[in-house]
Amino acid sequence: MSIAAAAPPPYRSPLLGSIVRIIGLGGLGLYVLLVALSDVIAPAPAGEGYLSRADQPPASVFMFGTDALGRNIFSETIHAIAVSVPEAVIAAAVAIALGAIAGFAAVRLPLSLERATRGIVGVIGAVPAIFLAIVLDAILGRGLVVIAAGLAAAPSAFIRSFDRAEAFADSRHAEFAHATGIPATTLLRRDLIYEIRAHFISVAARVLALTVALLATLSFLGFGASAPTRDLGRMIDDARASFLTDWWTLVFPALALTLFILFARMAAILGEGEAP
Amino acid sequence: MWRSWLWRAAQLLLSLICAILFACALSALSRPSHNTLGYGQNLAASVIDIVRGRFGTSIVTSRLALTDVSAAWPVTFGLAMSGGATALTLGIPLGILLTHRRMLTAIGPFMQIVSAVPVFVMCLLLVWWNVRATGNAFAGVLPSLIVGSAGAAYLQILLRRASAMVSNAPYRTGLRMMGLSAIDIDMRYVLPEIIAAVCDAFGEFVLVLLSATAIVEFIFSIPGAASLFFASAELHDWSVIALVLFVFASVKLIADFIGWAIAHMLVVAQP
Repeated sequence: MSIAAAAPPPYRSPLLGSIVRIIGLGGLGLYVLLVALSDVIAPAPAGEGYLSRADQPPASVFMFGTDALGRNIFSETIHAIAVSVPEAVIAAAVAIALGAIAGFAAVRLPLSLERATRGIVGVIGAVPAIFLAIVLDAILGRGLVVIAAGLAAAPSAFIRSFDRAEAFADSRHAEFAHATGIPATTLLRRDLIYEIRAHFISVAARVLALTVALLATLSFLGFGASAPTRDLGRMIDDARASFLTDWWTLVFPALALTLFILFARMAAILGEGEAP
Repeated sequence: MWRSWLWRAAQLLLSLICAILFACALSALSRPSHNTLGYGQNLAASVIDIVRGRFGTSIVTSRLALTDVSAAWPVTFGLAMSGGATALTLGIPLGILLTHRRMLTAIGPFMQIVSAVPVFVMCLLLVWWNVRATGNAFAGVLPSLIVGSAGAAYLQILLRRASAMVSNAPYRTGLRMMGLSAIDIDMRYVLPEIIAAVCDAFGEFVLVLLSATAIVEFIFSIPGAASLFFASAELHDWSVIALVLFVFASVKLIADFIGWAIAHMLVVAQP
């Protein structure tokens, strides 16, 4: 097992860890609220712009300013959040199901099959996740970019889950269970329930941080959301044309994206610099 | 000892074979097929071609995929290497600095925020800052600095985790009771273990560098393997896509092996 999997938690004090997690979950809750009320909070519909008010810096009329097409950046950021967050949640669900849970279950396969599965996923995981997502997007078609991102995030979740589950599989309770004739499926079900109870929030938040960054990067590179839909990555990509003079077109969507990732990282209690 | 070397070498070989098969599966998409049987035939043809060293032809440039990738790879490799050097220069002192609790309390929250910034956003922010400071959007060191920053963030946490694990090791108390000084214990036992633990994650470190290099190549329009990959993916040029992915995966897998080998030698060489 590598140090990345075996490392102790970054917060030595459990109280500090709990506070960080609560702040992270609170922040994510705020984003969920923004998504649910996006049409109410945003002062203008998505994509609405008037050239007469183009390139205005942040002021009392337009809190976050306007872009070259006269679109209100505040409204656009809220609408982009409403696109990015649900997409990231769906992708995270795919990654959890095919990565984290499958990784946990794979440890219980017969030894040769277990090693083969870990080896194959290890090879797929050797490709940068962004490349994998782009390839899967090209294979599946543009409409399924969310699924592609989830599948691309799955190998890292699988490996992490697999390495942790190995400790479960070799534990004393597993030995007793085998000795007393408890079926492997019952033991797996029991361990899975304990794993979900103990680590689900961490795993889900970790995967969420990865998928939201992955989807935003995909859109930024031109492989994600296509016009007229704009997610946060797409907004940042659009800002590339003017951000050297109109900094607000980049800063506010970037801030919204960074804060979401920060909250997800905090909910997962990730250390500084630790990969989600 | 030789058994573990043999086992790891066999693992590397199997992983590389698996990576080749993965590349074949993608390369087979470049040939037209209407059903699963057709794809199976294409896959078999791709395997035979790749085993013979023929990676196909790019549909974009009409050149051999191998020619295109071998022309672009040195650029990516150079950028990743210079980023790696920057990561070592920044990451090791940062990791050592942050092992001190007071320093971590002071810098930790800021580091958390910086770590949450995606690489492409960090890249654009640094470009913006650079233009404000120097008036030049594409200064020479900026790409290496960005790749290095991503690597440094990963390296410092590896160092911190390794030192945290080793500092709690029970043998330290035992050695102190046997009369060894703290500096002796640190230099002879603790330091090799920290270096070994960090080396063990060398493959992951390389993956972080390569991922950051890909983003930097896109933003700065650097004609490297990642830029070639993005252009090929846009046009479904599967021969080039397969070869680029194979190269990236192979580099990571070999880095994994090298990291393990260094870590293994360090641990075995311990008194």
